[in-house]
Amino acid sequence: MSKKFVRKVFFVTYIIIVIGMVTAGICFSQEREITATYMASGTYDVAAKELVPEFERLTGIKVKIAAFPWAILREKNMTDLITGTGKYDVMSGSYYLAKVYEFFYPMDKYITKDNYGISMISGLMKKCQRYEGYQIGVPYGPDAYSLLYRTDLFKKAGIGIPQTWDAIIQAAKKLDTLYEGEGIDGYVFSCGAIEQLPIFLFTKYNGTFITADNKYHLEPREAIQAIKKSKKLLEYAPPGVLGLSIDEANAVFLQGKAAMVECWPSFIRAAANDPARSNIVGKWAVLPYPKVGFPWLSMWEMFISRYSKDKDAAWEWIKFYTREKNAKYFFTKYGIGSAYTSTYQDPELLEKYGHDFPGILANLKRAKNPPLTGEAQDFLASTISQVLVGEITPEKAVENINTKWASLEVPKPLIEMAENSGLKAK
Amino acid sequence: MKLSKFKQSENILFILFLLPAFFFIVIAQFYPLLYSFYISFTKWSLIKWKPIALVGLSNYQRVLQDSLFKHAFKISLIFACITTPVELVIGFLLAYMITGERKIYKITRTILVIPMTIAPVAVGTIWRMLLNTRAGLINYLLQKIGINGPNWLATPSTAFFSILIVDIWEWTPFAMIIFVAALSSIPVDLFSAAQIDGASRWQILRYITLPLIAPITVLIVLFRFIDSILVIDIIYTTTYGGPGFSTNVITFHIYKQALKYFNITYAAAASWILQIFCLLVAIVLLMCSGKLQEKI
Repeated sequence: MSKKFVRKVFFVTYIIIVIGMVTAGICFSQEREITATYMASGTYDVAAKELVPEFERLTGIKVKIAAFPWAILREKNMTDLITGTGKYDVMSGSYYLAKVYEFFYPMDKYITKDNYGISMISGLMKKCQRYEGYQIGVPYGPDAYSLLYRTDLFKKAGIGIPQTWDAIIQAAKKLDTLYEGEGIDGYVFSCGAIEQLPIFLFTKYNGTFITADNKYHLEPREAIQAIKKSKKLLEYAPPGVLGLSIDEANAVFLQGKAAMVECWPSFIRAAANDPARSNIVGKWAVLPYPKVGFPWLSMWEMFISRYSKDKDAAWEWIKFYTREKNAKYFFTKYGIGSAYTSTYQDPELLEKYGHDFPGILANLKRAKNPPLTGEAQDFLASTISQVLVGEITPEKAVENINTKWASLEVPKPLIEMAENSGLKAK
Repeated sequence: MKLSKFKQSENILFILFLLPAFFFIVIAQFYPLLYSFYISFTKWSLIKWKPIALVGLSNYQRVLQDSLFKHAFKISLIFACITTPVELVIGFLLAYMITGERKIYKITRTILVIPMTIAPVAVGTIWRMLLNTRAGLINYLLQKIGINGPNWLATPSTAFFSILIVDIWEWTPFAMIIFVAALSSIPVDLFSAAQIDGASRWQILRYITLPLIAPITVLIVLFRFIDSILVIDIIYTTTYGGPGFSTNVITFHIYKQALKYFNITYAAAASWILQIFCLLVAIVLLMCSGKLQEKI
């Protein structure tokens, strides 16, 4: 074998390897892949995972679902955006991400192109987060905090639907006394889940959150009253209520051991209608909240990161996950609130959830996002927790909240949001 | 002449060998440390890009005026001041009972060390389940003997007590294992001589054992005190700082400021205050240890 021949063989092999590597590189880079974050709740994330195979088959886009508990999800999303990592293309979140809105990609172009959201509940798209006039999120799983009650117990006790908080407290007291022998308490709440405690203020507070000069501030008289009423209601809760997690508080209601529970309906709906998991099937309904304050709106939104390398693919996934067909399926299977009017008008669903829908829709209609940053909301929650455990009085709590809040900056999008929802002083 | 040249080249070689490690330590440890020191004097937002502006001591002033910081610092101090002596005493007693070469001692030591080998996050999670008011094992067992268990993690006092228990359970083995090593290193002759002189068990403990292990004891105090001040994992997994702010220890407070709210300059200043405090504690304790060693 001549040297020339050997050289030729090496040269050809070299060329083949180079071409192979380039081709492989092209093929590899052509594989579209995105990652989407969800809260690990056993609902939103599980529903997303269920959709992945079908989406991949239809679009050829690979999707990774990254699920985290709520507090961690917030951190993961924010860190990814601030560091410009771009690990997550689609992010689940809400108003508490206001500090990082500028890192989200405007969706108006996609929304217009696909006529997106036209069959959603009226006004829902308008409640989505915006930054500098652009819409940056689209809704899924809208849920409004609600007060669920036992229709049978109310009826037996001769109590009508209470219209005010004082009437609700009176009802809780009456039911607590009446059914004491049966081990049924008047009311239950997940006080152990501290992050849920702001609801005690939101639904009973008839004031603003932001002053005319754009500072966080609670109107003391209104806020003190709201906290006092919540504390009063807890007098009719089971012993140990201060330590109950969301699941535990819901379980008390599902077992038929409480006449009322204040909770996210999507966390309990599926179980409450399932005879295998509930003793109260057909015996409960949702109470429209009295018309003070506002029901806490948990409207998950999906955002596209500015650092996403494939924003089109990210939008495809968002569209697929939030499509009307899935909304009904998710509602039935996981109890996830639907963003579409058709779900609530579906005859099949109306028959099954007729007791649930009127209250849910009434609360959803009035529900709002509080214009609070994560830090402001966390402080509010911890301070209410201090009141509940008896460390401080409601008066001191409101004073502490206002002192702390005065040191916090209110992000511009939240000021706009507060203006639009009447939560900013004029 | 030749010898000194050889020594010189040998020194250069040593330095050359040390350089990679030196640079690694400088980059991996000192650079972030110095950088955090620098940003503690600046106004800088991770979120909105603006040039970093020097603001002198204003972050430190903010931290020291913050009632939450002061509260968290106080909680951490109380936590460390309780856990350290308790771990020390129980650790010593256990070590005193199981120091020796007998097989049963070795097995007991191995079993007792287990809590220390579990990841702190797992320890927190396990204890959170054990302490659950309605479904936890502890309240179940208490109920079996006719006691209504408290709401462990739901009231400030019981929640604080709970995290003390968790820390003591996890870290007493650390004190124990060091004490075992210290006790084993005392020459047996000393004990034999004391026994011949008619010293009682208590006198041997009081006048021989305790003085000889005093320097090591100071070191255990140093490790455990600083470690207790820096506790975060079990707080994160059991109480998340609550209820209210009752278990909001200093490191958890700093963590939230830095990584949840992205108040990075505040967090840097708070970390440096904590760092300086820990450094002072370490200096005082090391001086104590040195003096005790001299006495021995």
